[in-house]
Formats: sequence, structure tokens, C-alpha cells
Amino acid sequence: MEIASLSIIGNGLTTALQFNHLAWILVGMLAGLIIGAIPGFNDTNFLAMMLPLTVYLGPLDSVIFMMSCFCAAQAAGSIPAILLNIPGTPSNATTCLEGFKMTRRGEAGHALGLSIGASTVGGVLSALIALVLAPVVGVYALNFGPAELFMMALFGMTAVGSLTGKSLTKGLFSSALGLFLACVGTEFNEGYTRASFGFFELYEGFPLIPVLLGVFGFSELFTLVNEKNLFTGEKKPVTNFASILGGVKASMRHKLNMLRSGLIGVLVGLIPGTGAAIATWVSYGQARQWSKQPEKFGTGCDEGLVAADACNNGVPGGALIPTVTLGIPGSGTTLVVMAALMINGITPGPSFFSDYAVEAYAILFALLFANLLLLPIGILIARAAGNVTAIPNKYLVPIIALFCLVGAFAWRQMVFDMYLVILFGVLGALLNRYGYSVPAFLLALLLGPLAEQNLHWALAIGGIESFQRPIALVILVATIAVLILPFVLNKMVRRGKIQLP
Amino acid sequence: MTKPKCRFACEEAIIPGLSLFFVLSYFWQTRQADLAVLRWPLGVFAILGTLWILVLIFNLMSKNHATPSTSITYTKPILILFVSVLYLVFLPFLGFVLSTFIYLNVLFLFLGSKSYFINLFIASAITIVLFFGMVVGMGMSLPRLDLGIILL
Repeated sequence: MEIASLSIIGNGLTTALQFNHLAWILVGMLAGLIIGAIPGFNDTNFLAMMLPLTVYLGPLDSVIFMMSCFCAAQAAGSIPAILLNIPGTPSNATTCLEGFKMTRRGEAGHALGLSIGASTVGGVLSALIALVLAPVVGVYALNFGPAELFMMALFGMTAVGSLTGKSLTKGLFSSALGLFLACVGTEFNEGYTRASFGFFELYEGFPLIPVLLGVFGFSELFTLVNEKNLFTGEKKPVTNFASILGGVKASMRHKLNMLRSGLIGVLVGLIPGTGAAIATWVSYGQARQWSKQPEKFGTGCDEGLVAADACNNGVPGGALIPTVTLGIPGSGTTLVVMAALMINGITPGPSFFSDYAVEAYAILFALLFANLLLLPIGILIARAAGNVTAIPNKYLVPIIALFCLVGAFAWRQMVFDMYLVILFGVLGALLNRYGYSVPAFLLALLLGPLAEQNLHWALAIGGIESFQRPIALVILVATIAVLILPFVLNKMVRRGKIQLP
Repeated sequence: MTKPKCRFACEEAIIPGLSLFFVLSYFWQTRQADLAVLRWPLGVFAILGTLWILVLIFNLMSKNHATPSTSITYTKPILILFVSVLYLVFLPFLGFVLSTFIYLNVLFLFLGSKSYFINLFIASAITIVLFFGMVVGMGMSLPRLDLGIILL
């Protein structure tokens, strides 16, 4: 089966090499490296705040910027993890185990170099796999009809709901709540406006950007406002170029470890709702199993750090595949990437690789370039990281609050959307505090209309028999499997086979 | 070893309570709609309702709560909420520039920044950058205050 002609791949490559796209890769990298290095303010929050700008950037520049930011943030989260034992993102918890021990030993530069080297290799591997695998998934995804799309939406919501909450019931409840909120607005078939509560601004349902800004950005402020600084550590990071470069060189001695860990990152990233936090623990556990000196793990050893960071940066490529080919984002960040595409009139899904082939390849090549650029830029940022992360919260919190509110206004130019940011900010904070799944809630809100429409069409076209087609049945089995998966994972954790954060 | 005591965690009822309030408001709003329009929301409600009961059963009288045990201060979060709502209320009347400048300064002050010079400098810089970025760069129509000789 011909997946894509060489000319399309070539066009994708030349598109990615255009000056404006390269510039957005660079801007995304710099933003991601800074954002990822700030604990508590992750790439998802930042990209949600940047979402209104995507209207002006266009779909390709937006996604290139966002994916570059995603890759860089994954790598940069290791910087505070290594220097101050504070993970920049939840997936950097494993980096803390080894990296901070090295810092205590005075090997901060070496640890940062190891981290950047491993992140680059893991990221490049993941981008290459995405380049090969994504179009294949896209070709097979073309066989999807309304029944299969409904089942995929159901699978995505169930997977994210069952794997991301503090408990299975709370995770699934978050999905159901998001799905119910998606019922607000004009019904597509009859044209009846369901529960707009008298606000014309809700005729099309809850607008995505204010909801994302509220749930991710504004809700975070309620935690940050009670802390003096983003960092609470006492040790000042001391690094120099020589030690960082030495670390990069040392990381190349762990080729097999990096390949295995990068592959684990891609595979786990492919499964919606899992994400880098789970992937890095699986990878860390595997590295320990394969190691000749497993007793050194947890004492500040190179192998553990390399495994965690190569895997961490393997996730973005894996997470991008279901996002663009099936329309199911694997994480909060890819959810925002998907939202950026949808805002610009592109619906990610089975036909993405046929309708937007050049753009799709350009995104994948941009992902590759972003990971290659990670090495030089990462070294420079790691050197200067200590200063950026020291902004007091008394200045940072008001600025973030303002950016969330103004960002919501920028999209539809309605003050009503700014009120929604506050409303969903409070809801997001409550969901987080009581262990509900924010990604599941948002994904259901996003996929709700899609699920409703496709269920309607599937029943109208082929009745209940539509759901007996092989692909629909396979997805149904997968949906049931992800409902069982939390029980299996719990059992494995109890038996000590895997460690979860 | 003492067994963990089972206690009634009323805070676990906050999200289910809010959900119930929203669901009731939704169906009150759509009480005159055709059944065809409400078929999907009713289906979702059936799932939500089942999970609502399960969440209450597993969490309301549970030994292990997902709620963090750390005590939190509500003063500052409530302050942020209050000032942000005030900002939005006054935005259409005071215009973007003036209300944003005041909003930032008030928050800086309440959150503990005592240096008026730094507060004024950061607030001015951000307001100006945002104003020109949004009006000139993106061509947006922000709420403005007409002072006769100048539009703020």
C-alpha cells in the first residue's frame, strides 16, 4: 500500500525548513525550556494561554510552535529536578531520584549534561518513529466510519478517565461531567439551543479557550499564591559549560539504555491517558532490571537518569500520533495542540494524512528538528536556568492571572469569556484538589459534540449493526481493556513489579 | 496497629454537589424541549448519575481520602478571585488601560510587594505592551475609556 509519495514527504521537509517555521521551532524551544524549568507552571498551562494567538499564527505555525515547546518543556523539567529536587513536570519525578543526588555530590553540570544528551536522543528517536508510524496509522484510520469514530471518542474518554484520576470512579466521573457540559449549546440536528442559561455567548456551547485557560492556567494560581517562590530549595545551582558537555558525552555511553527508554516513551505516549509520568517510571524500572549494577539506582547513577530523560522526551512523538491521526490526544499538552488545529478549522482524525499530507509531514519534520536543536539550546538554557526560575510569586501570580483573562478575551473579544476563565479556574482547582481528572474532563468536553454527532449518524446510516463492524468491535474490546487496566496496574504496584508516582 | 477510622468527608461532596446543581439547572432550562433533542443528554445523565452515586459511595465514607491533608490558606485565593471579578466588572467602564494598570498594582500590593516603584514600573510595562500588542498588533477592539482628548 502506498502511504505517501516521496514528493509529498519532500514537500513536507522543505515546508518545515522554511524560515518562518524554523523561527517558530526556535521560539517554541526557548519558551518550552523556560516554562518547563518553572515548577508548577507546565507547558500545558503555558500553551493554553497561547491558544488565542494560534488564530493569528495559522494551524501549521501554531502546531510547530506548540510541539517544539512540548519537547523542550519535557527536557527542561529536569533542570529544577536535578538542581533543587523539584520536578518541573510530573514526569521528572524519576529524574529527581538520581539527578539531585549528583547535585549533592557536586556533579550538577554532569547531571544536566546527561539529561540533555538523553533527552535529545530520546526525542530524535520518537520523532523518527512518528515519521514512519503516523502515516501508517493515518492510512488505516481512513476505514473509520461514524460508528468507529464514536467508539474512538468513547475509548479516548474512557482511557483518559480511567487512567488519570486518583481513583477509577473519579476519573470516569470527570469524563462524564465533561461530556454533560458538552451538551450545552445548539443541538446540531434540530437546531434547538439546549441550556444556554440566557447567554447568547453559550449558543455554541462552552468556548474551548476560556475553559482551557481557566482549568489549566487560572486554577494553578490558587496554589502558587500561597507560596513565596516557585522554588523552595536552598542550594544555589552551580554549573559550567565544561561539566555540562562532559555529561552530554557520558550519556552517549548508554546507547542501548537510551534506545530502550525512548521506545518505551513512544509506546506509552501512543496510549491516550497514560502520559510521560507513567512512562518514565516504567522506563526507570526497566533500566534497573537490565542494569549490571541495579544496587546503584537511587544513589545518583548515570543509567537511571539517562533512562528517565530519554523516555521523557520519547513521549511527545508517541502522543502526537493518536492526536493527529485519530483525534485522540494522549495528554493535556496534545489536547491543546489538537484544540489549536480545531480552532484553525482543521479537525485531526483519520483523514488528516490524506487531506493535509504536506502539513502533516512538515509537523513531523519540525518535531525532528526541534529535538536536534534541543542539544545546543538546552546546554545554553541549563547554564542560565538558575536566574529565570527565581521570580517571586508576588509578581508572577498577577501577571499569569492577567494573561489568562486577556487571553480569553483575545479569542472572541467578549468580556463574558473572561468570567468563564474565573468560573472554570475555580472548577479546575476543585477538580485538582479532590483528585478528579482534569485532562479527562477537558477531553470529554472537547469530544462530546463529536461523539453525539457520530452516534446519531451511525444509527441513522446502519442502525445498531454499524457497531458490529470489526474495527468498532476491536475498539470496544480496547475500551473494556482500559477499564480493567487500573486494576492490573494496582496489582502490579502492590506486588512491586512496577513503581508509580 | 490501630485501624484507620472511617469518617464522613463532607468536602468530598463539593464536586458531586456542584454537578447535581448543574444537572438540575440544565434540565430545568430544557424542560420544554422535545425528547429527540434531549436523548443524548439523558443518556449522558444516566452514566453521570451512576458514577455520581459510585463517587459518593467510595469517597464520602472512606478511610483513604484523595483530599490532601495539608492545611491551605484561603485568604489569598479568595482575594485573587474577588479582585479579578472586580476587574471584569469595571473593565467596560474604566477601559482596558486604566483597569489593567489598577488590577496589577492592587494584586502586587496585596500579595506583598511593598516597592511602589517596581509595582508601577511592571504594571505600566505590561499594560503598555499588552495594549499595543492587542490593539496595534492584532487589531482588537478593547474596552476603552473616552477622556475626550485621549482614548485609554
